Amino acid sequence: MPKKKKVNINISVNHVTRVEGHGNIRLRASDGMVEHVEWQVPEAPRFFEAMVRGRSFEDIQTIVSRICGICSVTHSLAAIKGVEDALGVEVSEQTDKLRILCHYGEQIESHSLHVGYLVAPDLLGQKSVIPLVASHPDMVKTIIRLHRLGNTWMEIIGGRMTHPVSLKVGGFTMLPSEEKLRELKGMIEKAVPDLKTLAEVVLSLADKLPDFNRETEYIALSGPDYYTFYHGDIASTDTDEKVPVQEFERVTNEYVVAQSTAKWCKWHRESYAVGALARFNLNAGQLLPMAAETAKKFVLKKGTCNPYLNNVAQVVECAQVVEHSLQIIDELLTKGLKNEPVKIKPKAGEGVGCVEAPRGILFHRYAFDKKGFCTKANICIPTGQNHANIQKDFEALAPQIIDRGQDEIRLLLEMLVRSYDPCISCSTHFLNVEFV
Amino acid sequence: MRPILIICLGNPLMRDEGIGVRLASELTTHLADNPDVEVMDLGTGGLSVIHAIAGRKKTIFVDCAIMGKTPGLMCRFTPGQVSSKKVRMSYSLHEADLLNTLELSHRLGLCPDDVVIFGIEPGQIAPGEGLTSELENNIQQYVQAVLKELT
Repeated sequence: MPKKKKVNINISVNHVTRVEGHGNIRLRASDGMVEHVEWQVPEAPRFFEAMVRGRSFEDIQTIVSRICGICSVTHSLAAIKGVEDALGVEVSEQTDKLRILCHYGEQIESHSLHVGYLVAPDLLGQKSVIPLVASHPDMVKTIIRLHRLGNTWMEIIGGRMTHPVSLKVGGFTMLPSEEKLRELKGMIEKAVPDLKTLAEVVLSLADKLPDFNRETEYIALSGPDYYTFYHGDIASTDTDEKVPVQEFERVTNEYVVAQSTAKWCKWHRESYAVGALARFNLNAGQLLPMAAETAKKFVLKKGTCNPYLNNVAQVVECAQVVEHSLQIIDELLTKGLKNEPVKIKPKAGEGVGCVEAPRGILFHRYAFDKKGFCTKANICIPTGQNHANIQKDFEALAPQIIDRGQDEIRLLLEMLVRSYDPCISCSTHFLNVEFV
Repeated sequence: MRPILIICLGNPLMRDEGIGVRLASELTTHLADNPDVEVMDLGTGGLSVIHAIAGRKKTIFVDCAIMGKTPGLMCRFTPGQVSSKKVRMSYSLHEADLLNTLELSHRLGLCPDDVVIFGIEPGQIAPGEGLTSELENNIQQYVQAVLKELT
């Protein structure tokens, strides 16, 4: 290990307002030694659980779809699955497949945006994607096309490009036509070259991703049949035990810390990570050929514990969801779409819905009275589950980079946070302007 | 694709931040028979604005805006008449700034020439449903202002 320069560092990246919510980075070093490094989340509590109490089981997904504009399909599906679990509702194979398909549209949108708009500027030495329009126009246009595909995809299946309206407890309010499904299939097939371009661009810049490894527990859904974002039990890289989603609190073990208004989580270690890399580390053996080939090009292997490579895992997952979507559409078209009216009788009960958001595993728990009104809700989001792990990464990374100079240290810490693709400040998008 | 798009933004779970979404339903009713205008509730869709406005002749945004004015006041402005006071941390895709998104759209050649923003000063942005009275009492006035923009 090279001898550390005796430097003094004081980094303080502050949030702006509590309403919007942000994360703060603090680092203090003296004589080349890190004295203090902290990931703070001062986001105000948002009380979404309180807002659904007293509401009908039929309204829950509409309300929670507004929690986040990027993960609105994911929140809707988690809520719907939680309600169905509580009320004992079984859904058809067609509904199951259409939901997975809708969810994949969100994965493509979110992953391509994250890699293209937030990660690429870091790797190309820019502050944002805007200068890349002039310097790397083809790459930006590729990202824009993939983003548009995700939007159109969710509009076709979910009824609109964000905050879906066609997903409901038991099935769908409105099915896409078979013609629209064929149209979607054509768009997805045409996007394959764009995905390959995205992978090549990231591959060409992969040596700029920091070489930082820390033994980490990864947690994700896992099932026997396919690389899942929707079905399965909770799995960990630290154990062979599979935990039913209904017992998720046994995994999340939420606790409160002074440096964050968001709760932190831990299972077998002081922290764990969720997201694309967690899913890859648990389920890589189930990747379809194009995704497996993409992983091979990056030499991304099971057991990877470099958090910066979450971005590479996202690229691999883009290939995975495209390939699986084409299979699903073929299966749906072969059988033909049928209207499936569902009548649901409310009853008292409690249930859990679990879905993999682009940024990691998401849990919703609901209880209902005998008339189907919500009496209890608990939502445990992936970013909350990653906060403790970001802190532990900071503690391990900071001493390794303390001789790099203040600007580079700050950038590497910010890049680390970005690599987790966090969901913060997602509930408010108001303008804040002054007239010029 | 209809040539004129009214995009209503915001979150109805954050009190006055939801004014855009509330106006989306009002404007949809008023404009149901107008073949040239589409009203879109884009919620907190952020960067999806780029695709929604591409290829349109005119886009009108309706959003909650902190402008330092009296709560409930609606101001009409164009992107060139304001500058953003938001400090972006760029940690998360979820961080959205409409002016920044419009700049990206413009550089990509996807932004309509005619973009108008109706900003409404909030009384309260906090978790909860329903608007404060300062905004609730002015709903029809806001609707008429946006409709006038179409004439």
